[in-house]
Amino acid sequence: MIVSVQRLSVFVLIALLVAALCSVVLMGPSNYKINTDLNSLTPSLQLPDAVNDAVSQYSQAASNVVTVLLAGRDEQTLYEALDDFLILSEEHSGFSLLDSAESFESYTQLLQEHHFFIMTAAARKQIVGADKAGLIAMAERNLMSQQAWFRLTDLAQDPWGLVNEYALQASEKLAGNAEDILSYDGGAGSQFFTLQRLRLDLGNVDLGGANQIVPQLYSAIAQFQRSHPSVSVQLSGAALYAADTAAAARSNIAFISSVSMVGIVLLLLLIFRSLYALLLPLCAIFLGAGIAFVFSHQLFGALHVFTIVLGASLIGVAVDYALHFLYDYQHAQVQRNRQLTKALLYSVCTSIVGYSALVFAGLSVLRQIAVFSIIGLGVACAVVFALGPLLSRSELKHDSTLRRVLQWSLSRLAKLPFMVLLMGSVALFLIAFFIAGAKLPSNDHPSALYHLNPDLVEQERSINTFSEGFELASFILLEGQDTQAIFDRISELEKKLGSQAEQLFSLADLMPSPREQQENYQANARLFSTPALLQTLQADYGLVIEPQRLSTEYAQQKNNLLSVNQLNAALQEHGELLWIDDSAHQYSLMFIKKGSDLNLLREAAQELDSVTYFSVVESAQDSLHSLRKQAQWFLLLALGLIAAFMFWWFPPRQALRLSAVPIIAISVTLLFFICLQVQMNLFHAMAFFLVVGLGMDYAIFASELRERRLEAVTAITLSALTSLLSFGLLALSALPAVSAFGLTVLIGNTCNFFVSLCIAAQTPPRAESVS
Amino acid sequence: MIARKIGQMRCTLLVIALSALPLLGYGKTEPQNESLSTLLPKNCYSSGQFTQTRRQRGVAKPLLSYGAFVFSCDKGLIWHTQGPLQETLIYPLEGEVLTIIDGTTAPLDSRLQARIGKILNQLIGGQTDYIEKQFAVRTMTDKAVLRPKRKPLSKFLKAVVIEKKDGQVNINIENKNKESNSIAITQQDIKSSINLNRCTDLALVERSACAALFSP
Repeated sequence: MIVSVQRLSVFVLIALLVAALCSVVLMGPSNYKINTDLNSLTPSLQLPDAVNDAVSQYSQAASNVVTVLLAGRDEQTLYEALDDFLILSEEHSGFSLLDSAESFESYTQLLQEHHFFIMTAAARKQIVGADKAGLIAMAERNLMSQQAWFRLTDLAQDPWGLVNEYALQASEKLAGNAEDILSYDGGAGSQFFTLQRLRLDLGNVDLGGANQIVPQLYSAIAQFQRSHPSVSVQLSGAALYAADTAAAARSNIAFISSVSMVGIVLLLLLIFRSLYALLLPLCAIFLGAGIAFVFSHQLFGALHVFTIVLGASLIGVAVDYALHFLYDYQHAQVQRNRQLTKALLYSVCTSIVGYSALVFAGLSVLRQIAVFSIIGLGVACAVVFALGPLLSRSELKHDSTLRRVLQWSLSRLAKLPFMVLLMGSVALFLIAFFIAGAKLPSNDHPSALYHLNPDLVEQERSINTFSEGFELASFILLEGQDTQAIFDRISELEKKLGSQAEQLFSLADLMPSPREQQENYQANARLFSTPALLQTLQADYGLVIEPQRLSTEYAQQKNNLLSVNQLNAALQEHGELLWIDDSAHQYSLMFIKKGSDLNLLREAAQELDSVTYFSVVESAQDSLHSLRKQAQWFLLLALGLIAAFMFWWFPPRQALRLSAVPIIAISVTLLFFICLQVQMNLFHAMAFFLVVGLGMDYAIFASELRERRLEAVTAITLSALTSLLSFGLLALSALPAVSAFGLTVLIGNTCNFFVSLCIAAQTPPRAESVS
Repeated sequence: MIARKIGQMRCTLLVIALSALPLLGYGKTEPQNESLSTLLPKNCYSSGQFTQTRRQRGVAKPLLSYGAFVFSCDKGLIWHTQGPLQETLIYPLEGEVLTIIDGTTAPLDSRLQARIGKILNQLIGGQTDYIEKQFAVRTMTDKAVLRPKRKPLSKFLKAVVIEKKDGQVNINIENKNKESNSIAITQQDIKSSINLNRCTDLALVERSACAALFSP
């Protein structure tokens, strides 16, 4: 059997290697994409695809913006500091001052092109209700008023200043740099501050892009601070969190990987005292991970970095196969090797059955991990079968001390009733569960998955007290059949909110609705349909206008309404989200000013059709909650499938014992979580799959290789130690998602090991044999 | 020969003495501070009259208006245009700019007006320290040209030219579009203090404007 399995493994391995190499050559190594976007860890919002895409785009663009708060007690010093800061932002290539002036100029130009359709509602009301003298007075006011000191529009096109008035109103609402230095009462006398916004030159907010530019920004700020020690500088922005996470992840992953690798290598060298012993596990892991990477990438188009990290961890189970092979394989010992082959096959099959439950997960990262691990594990097992006989040596294992300890342990554990262990652990867990209110402590908030630097959080809080910007994570979604329908939704919501409507910024702040534009055009008939009034203005005030031309233009431009698409093109900063056209439906978003009453907005939106309040954070939290619940149910499914598999292949008593191993491990781990108030998230739930896989491996080997119990248990011990070094150390990671995974495996696998020793101690051998 | 030498020595001494005159304070250029202070006398409370001439692109002739103002260095400025258009703007030192329309005081949500208000407050109050922080000052005889030092101001303001002619101060504000607003302070009375009652008594601006600026 081993020979046929070996031959098959060699064949499959060669075929996969060739296929993988061809794939790499055809695709080109540079086309392999590793997605480091942290946003992929949280599920897609429950929004229509077009809106989801637009929100993602906006989030990316907004994530590239860093807000800088400069503050100080002396106004003059702050002015000088601001000058230097502006120069710094102009000179640095990695970031630039966010200046909305350009897009505002094109916006104003656009309004002028449709000037017969643009005016405020108040101006329209005035025009409609005024006589000729009133209309002249209106022009005089717009000309002579102190408020008309600086015009945005050309008088020749806009003699009444109606478009100018509209544009000035809009300019007040568009967020931009608070260019002025403002004062506030800091509690200990007046203080001064200014807010500036920088756009970083990043691709998207990922670990890679933020990595390069953010350190440059910090360095430039540090230099700036040295020149202006009395000015405080605070920064806020998603890119800063990304860079901080990247730095923490890099150092963590490097440390953990190094310690893990060194530990495993030393352990294997200690026991086998031969470099050959390292070859088989290393080949299994690297070939398994490599081929899994190639084929998973083909399937998904790009892989997330967490897929590679966690997927590779799951493949680490393959080290067990290599260890068992090295420990147990003996050339020309057919019966012995047959048992080993069976055990290995059972083990890999149960792990694949267990991981396959994740294929049905809602989060794409989890599906990627499942596919990556299944392929990797299969390949790793094939490597062990194919290369094991070649690399296995019958040298002495230097494990006498370990064997004595294990021998003693087995003799003690032989007296521990297994069913008591099973019932006891489950009972303790259930007691703790019900004491804790029949629920597991959990935290599905997205922030629980990231490492949030408290210093950055504090700076953000400080900046938010001054910032006039918009909420990034909350908005109101409007849906309609056409443009006017969207404006009607806006109007309904604003009526409902009353004065609180000031908290919102929408399309209606930048252009009149189609209906309003028609009304504006009708109102402008009083001003432009005949040149008479224009001629009066020309004569009385010396306006340099062409009355006849304007009148003719008015008549010709009857249908030249300003469209939303034209507005989108003119506005660069918020344009993508103010209007989203999805063939059958139109969508528009309303931005919410920071510091607004979100509950009020939510309640108001709930009472209206086609108006939805949306919070990205809340939605992500709901999604992560449901995904965690799903993972927990899938885990039960996995246990059921594995149990069914066990009962199919093994006698019932043996099948029950084997199936009980991961159940005990999970119960004890959950008991720990409840007692230590560890708040579970999706990654805790996911790690249980690995605990199940490892537990079944240990149990199957302990049971199947009972004739060489001590060798089997020694190999299991080595496996458990390598698992501790590779997974358990993840518990020390600064990334909460990774440490959650590691902690679960650390506790769970320790239980697996202990319970497997019990099985080994209590399973009688089929026959006594001398190895 | 000796007389020639004495003569040469006297010439040399005279040249040295003349060269040293600047060091002794004679013939030196007036410091900028003094010049600006002369053009814009520093005061904490004042009232007065103004005429305003606006040259606007697209308008062939200058737009003329006239009015009165009340200034308090700790409260702000009331700028009341009496004709041809009646309008009152209140530029407080802190808080929003206000406008009075048909007797009703309402806030004016305009960052631009807030900037204008700040500049007017400093010019009317002769706050040369502030002016020199915001502007590069070049002074000539009876004239000073202020150019904004910083981008936020220079975006909409090109220069402020202050001149004194026949005892009257003219402030000419030029913007980027080659438009200008020329304010001539035809009369400025410096007061020891101004409060709500005094402002009302002056009868230069509406009572509601005084209330808006001076009420506690």
